[in-house]
Amino acid sequence: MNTVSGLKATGYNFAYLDEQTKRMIRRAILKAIAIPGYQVPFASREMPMPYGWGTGGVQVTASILGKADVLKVIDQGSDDTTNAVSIRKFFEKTAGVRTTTHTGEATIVQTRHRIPERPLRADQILVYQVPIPEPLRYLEPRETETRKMHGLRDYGLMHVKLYEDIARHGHIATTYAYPVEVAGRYVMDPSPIPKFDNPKMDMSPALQLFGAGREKRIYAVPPYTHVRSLDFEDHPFEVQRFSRPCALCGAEDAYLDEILLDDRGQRMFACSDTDYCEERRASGHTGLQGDAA
Amino acid sequence: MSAKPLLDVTGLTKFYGQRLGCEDVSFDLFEGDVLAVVGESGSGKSTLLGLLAGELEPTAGHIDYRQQNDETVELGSLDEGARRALMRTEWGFVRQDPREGLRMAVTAGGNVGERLMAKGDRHYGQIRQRAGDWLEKVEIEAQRIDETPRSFSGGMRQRLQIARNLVTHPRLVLMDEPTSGLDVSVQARLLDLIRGLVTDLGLAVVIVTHDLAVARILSHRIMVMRRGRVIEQGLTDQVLDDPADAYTQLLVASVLAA
Amino acid sequence: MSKKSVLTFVDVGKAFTLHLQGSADLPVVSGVTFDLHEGECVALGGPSGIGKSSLLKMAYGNYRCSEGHILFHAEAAIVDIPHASPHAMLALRRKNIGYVSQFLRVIPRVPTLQIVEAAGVEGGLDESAAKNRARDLLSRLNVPDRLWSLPPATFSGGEQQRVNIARGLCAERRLLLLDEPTASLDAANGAVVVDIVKDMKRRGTAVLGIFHDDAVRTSLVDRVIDMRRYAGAGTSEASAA
Repeated sequence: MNTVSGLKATGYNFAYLDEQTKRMIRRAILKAIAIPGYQVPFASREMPMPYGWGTGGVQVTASILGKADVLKVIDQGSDDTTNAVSIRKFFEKTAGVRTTTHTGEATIVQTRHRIPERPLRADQILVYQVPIPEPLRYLEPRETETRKMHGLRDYGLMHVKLYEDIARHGHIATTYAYPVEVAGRYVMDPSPIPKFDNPKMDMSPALQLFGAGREKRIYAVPPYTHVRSLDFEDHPFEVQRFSRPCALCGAEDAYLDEILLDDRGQRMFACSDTDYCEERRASGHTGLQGDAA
Repeated sequence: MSAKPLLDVTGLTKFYGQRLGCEDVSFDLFEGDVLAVVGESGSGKSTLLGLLAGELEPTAGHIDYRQQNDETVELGSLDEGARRALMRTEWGFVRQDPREGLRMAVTAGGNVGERLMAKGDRHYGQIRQRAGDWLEKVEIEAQRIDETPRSFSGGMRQRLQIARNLVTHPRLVLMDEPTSGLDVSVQARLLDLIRGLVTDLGLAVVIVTHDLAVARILSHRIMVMRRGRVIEQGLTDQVLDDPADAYTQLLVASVLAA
Repeated sequence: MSKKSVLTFVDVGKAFTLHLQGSADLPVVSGVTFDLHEGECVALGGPSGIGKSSLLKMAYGNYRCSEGHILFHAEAAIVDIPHASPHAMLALRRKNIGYVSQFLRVIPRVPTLQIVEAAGVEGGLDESAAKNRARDLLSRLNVPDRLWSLPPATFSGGEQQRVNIARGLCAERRLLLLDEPTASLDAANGAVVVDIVKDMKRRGTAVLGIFHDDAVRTSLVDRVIDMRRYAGAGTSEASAA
């Protein structure tokens, strides 16, 4: 029924992909949910956008989107970068769904490189755009071998990467795409989110889906699943701390971006999650440069 | 003497289609035994090593290994996971080309520490400490622990590969021509080092070599292979000093002072 | 006096087959039959090339036998050396049978004292006993103690030879095979070796050896086996040994 109305509205099938393809992707998603953290191969389609622009996430979103859904798209926490805007427009046009910038209003959030600051609910789904799904690739380029390592839970190599970090930098210097172990079994690349966001994945009420278009892989973290960031006993996992609160909203618990203000190197630190920052300011919170913004 | 051998190989045979890799190879190996497998290229010695390492599937025959817990397992009956676990704890494999046996983009410390991390060690300081101890044992200066093997000489790379294999105190180590391609003086030092470690740790070793001098220095026993078959085996000094088979006599005669 | 047998040769024969020379058979010895007892020193006699060294090497498992048996009477069982598994033979060499020739198989980079000591430990001495024995042997054989912590690779030929003897004699052995161990040693050191071997004999070690030195022969040897009796069927000059 969606199909028919979608076709009528725009000339596209609902959410662009044909129903057979969506069914294929949904099957992959179901398998991914059944085996948390396991990379399920799927027949990734050519999308009307280049690889690297979220083709994996878009295909996942297209396959789970219903007419009643409210979609939010963020890129590094922001709703209004080119990538976020064009994906939002894509679904407005091909599916006619309502879109929003408010995390709280969205039923599906497609994201590149961030998890929203506002805690997600059980009726929400977070769709990640993933460039490289294989966390072991950095040290073992052979896909046949990394698959075996996952299959056999042969994860010594993952710690070699962290060991190398400490050996070279004195601490675990991996700050994004920080590897996690899902449900005590598979080691997974959480996509290039800052490790600041890693703890949000653990026991999240929301379903988390990961789509890698170029690499043709889908994986998932079901709701309320343990997600543990790998570490050493004497170098435990730690998130980034910021030495000051957000310059605009005064938030102390949010991930901050450094923003250059002028040509003389004036800069400020402000929430990377623009919606979170705006909502805080709307409810009266303010930072040191709150007026200036 | 009455104890069961560590490794008991019976009738091991490998055909690549119609082509013979090796046929009906049988031997046993006890703790502390060093067995040299000698022969020219194409003799089947590399096939044999591949079979022992579980990298090739035998056409016939079996390999029984007595584990640390004294239980004997047939290698072919192990699933891939169990086999790999065995390979990185109780077994080692020193390859001819250190670039195949090492991770060239990973530091010396990471290379040595990998097996520790693979078996579950999660304390960075302790892993690093043990890696450092092992670098010392193989005569690599401790301050080079954070360098990658790319900056190492051939001999150092080979020594690093040995440390990487021995850090988990394996009981059986397979070595594939570990000294070939090295300068003579570097070779001598490496042989010395291997012999010292083998004695100190009571390792059982199967070393494949075409170099009878290496066999003479390192091994207690020799197995001579030709065209896929074992043509002579026995104590190293016996086979080299009193070779019975025509081919072995030729081999020995063509080497200066093996 | 009926002492226990340590080594029994039964119809032992040896021929080399030289495949590289048209499979020519070179007979060395045949029909060797004799007994060696605890505490006894037997010398192999006869001209050079008669197969004395070959027979010692056969008793050590270094050369194969073409026929017959060489029975070693171990504490628990009798081992037929030519038919023993390599594993069993290695164990015999470690624990029971010592072989000393005049040539040191140099072990580079291991300190002298440690080489001698290790031989003792391998032969069943406990560590402190091995250490004491090693020190005692080295000093009796006039290896200066400043050399003990150095590897023998750089020593003079005579010093290397004496280290080798100390190593060969450190452990208690049931059987000692001596292939002219004192050749090219000076008289004083030769006498020391004789003393040490005599001590071991007294403790029950059986000795089978080749001795060209008359002084050594008179003071050590109880019995001489004339190897000419066992010359291989063929010319007695044909031995490759």
